[in-house]
Amino acid sequence: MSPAGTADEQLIRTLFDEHAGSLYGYVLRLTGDPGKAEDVVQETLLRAWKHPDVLTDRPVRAWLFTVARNLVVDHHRARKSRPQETTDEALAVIPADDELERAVESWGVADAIAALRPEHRAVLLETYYRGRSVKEAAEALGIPPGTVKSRTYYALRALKLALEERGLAP
Amino acid sequence: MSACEDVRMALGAHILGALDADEAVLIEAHLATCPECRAEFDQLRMITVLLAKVSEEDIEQAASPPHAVLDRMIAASAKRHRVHRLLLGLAASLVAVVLAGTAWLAVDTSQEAATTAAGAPEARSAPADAAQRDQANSGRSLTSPSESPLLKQDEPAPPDRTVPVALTGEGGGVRAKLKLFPGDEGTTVQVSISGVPDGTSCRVTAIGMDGTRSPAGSWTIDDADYHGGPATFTGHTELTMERIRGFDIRTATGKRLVSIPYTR
Repeated sequence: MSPAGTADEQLIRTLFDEHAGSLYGYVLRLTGDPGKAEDVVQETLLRAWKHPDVLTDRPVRAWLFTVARNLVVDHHRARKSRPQETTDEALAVIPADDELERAVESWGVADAIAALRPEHRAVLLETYYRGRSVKEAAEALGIPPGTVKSRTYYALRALKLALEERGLAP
Repeated sequence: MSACEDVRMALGAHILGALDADEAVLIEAHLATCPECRAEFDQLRMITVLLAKVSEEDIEQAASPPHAVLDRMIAASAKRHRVHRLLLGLAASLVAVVLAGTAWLAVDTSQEAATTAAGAPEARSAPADAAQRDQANSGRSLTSPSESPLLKQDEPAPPDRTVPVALTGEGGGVRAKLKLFPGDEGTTVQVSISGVPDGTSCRVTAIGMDGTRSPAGSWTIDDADYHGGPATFTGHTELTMERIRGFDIRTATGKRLVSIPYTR
């Protein structure tokens, strides 16, 4: 592999690591089709790779989500032109602009939580998303209740920083 | 451990509603009297608004990107480099042809000059004329394209194939021009297309004499690609020139945009 190839591969890996998970989640909700969602994520991230200027002079997330949504809309229009398929249901999933903004925000939050250290993520999942008490979470995770408490505190502080880094500070 | 430190450690669990009622009452009592802990509580509490925007499934999704896509992207970028290298190689051979041609002309001209200059004093000497003709001929044959070591090394294709083959196709308002460049591993295809809406994904496929369909690349028409003229793209097919019957360009969903026959 040439040095240029290695640098390109590095950029692709970075794009993938930072955006592929949430982008895929977003597109999968729109299409309901895992194969198509993978194609759209690939096309979107390759476009960002081919036009690196988009990565510097505007919010990357909003750009990626917009490109992905447009690709989904294109697929949908192409499908619509074929008479044998009814499209009313599919039409309902194409989001409006404010929905796009909300998706960029909420997937940014999901990414920030996903990027936490595993032990921090685990206590947030137990206490907030599964609604467990400190005592229940301690049993589920096999750690003392005092550790659940302190980890929850540090997890929220770490999350606050991660959200601020993504421009999502509350 | 001070009262504040105890409270701070419990603050996260309190904010997320995981403390039992007795402990929550104690924390609230402290917050009512300690502005510092209260400020920390208010800051962290805002985060719950954002936590509420996602589900556990969303978080799992964000934490587990589809790795097959990464492999495909790296393969796609490597392919792009291969095409670039092919084009660079091709450009180098074209330069070689031009250089060799120039050298040939230079030798030819100097031979003529020599004939003219040397011919004057011995103008009527037939054997000398013949010798000079021989010399001129041998000089010519030394630099002829078929014998040039430079050309042999860099341009295996016969001379009539050094010029790219140009094809055109039209239909339904879409117009495509293709240039084919023979290469060692197939054929490089330069596509320029107009009449296709911005944002359309296009797939170029080479069709073989035997009906084989060989993908030659795909790209998405982008405003930036137009540069005021038609959008251009360079791809590559494994089929060699002789084996190509034509091309078609389709959208990502398989709708045919235009066919380009290779008429010989």
